[in-house]
Amino acid sequence: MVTEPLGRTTATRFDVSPELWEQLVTLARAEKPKECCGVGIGPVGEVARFHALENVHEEPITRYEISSKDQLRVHLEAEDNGWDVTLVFHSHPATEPYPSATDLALAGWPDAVYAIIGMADPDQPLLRAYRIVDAVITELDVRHP
Amino acid sequence: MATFRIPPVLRTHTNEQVQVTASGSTLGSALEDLFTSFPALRERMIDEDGSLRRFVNVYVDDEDVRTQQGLDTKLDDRSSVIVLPAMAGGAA
Ligand SMILES: [Zn+2]
Repeated sequence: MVTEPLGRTTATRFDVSPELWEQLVTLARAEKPKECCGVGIGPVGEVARFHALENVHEEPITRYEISSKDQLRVHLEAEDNGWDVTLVFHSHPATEPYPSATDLALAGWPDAVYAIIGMADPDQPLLRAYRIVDAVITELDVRHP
Repeated sequence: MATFRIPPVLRTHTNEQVQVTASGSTLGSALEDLFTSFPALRERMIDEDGSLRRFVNVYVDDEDVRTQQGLDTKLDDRSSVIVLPAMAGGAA
């Protein structure tokens, strides 16, 4: 069991593999008009595995929330591998992929990449990624297929 | 002593420790013990009404305390407590 922090990443880029890109876009399209959500886990700064998770918020058109059960399951899986949560993903079905005031207020994972996909035009998904630490946003340079 | 796993966002309040221990027969009393060592944690975990904050998930032995007795959930010496900030947000 890990008892030391895994360390902070200072990466300014978010490289999206073709497989991950496919997973994110497929999920966002399938859930629209609802917000979709998912979590990536892996070694520091890397998404080794992505889990599409159910949005359990009662207003899923404009909000998302991952269930506490799913969160625990993914957390334990990461821990078993000596990994951490490296990606928190959700969609904005009709608006710009920029963190909302709600996103900022609830961003509790400073070591993870917060990625948002804008689906206003489902044929032109817009993926943006950020690090959010103490409600301060740093936009990352996203590279995807 | 129960074991608490501290998530990255709260580690600035536990001297960067991932795992800390606290004693108490319930989650609430163990948290009080923890806050004695790490006072800044209280505000991050407990709201003005003395309840667990809405967007903090706490699990005792892999079970969400909201489906148990909340802060009154019983602990023993082998209890393992996991704290995870919620993953939530939205466009509005
Ligand atoms: Zn959002």
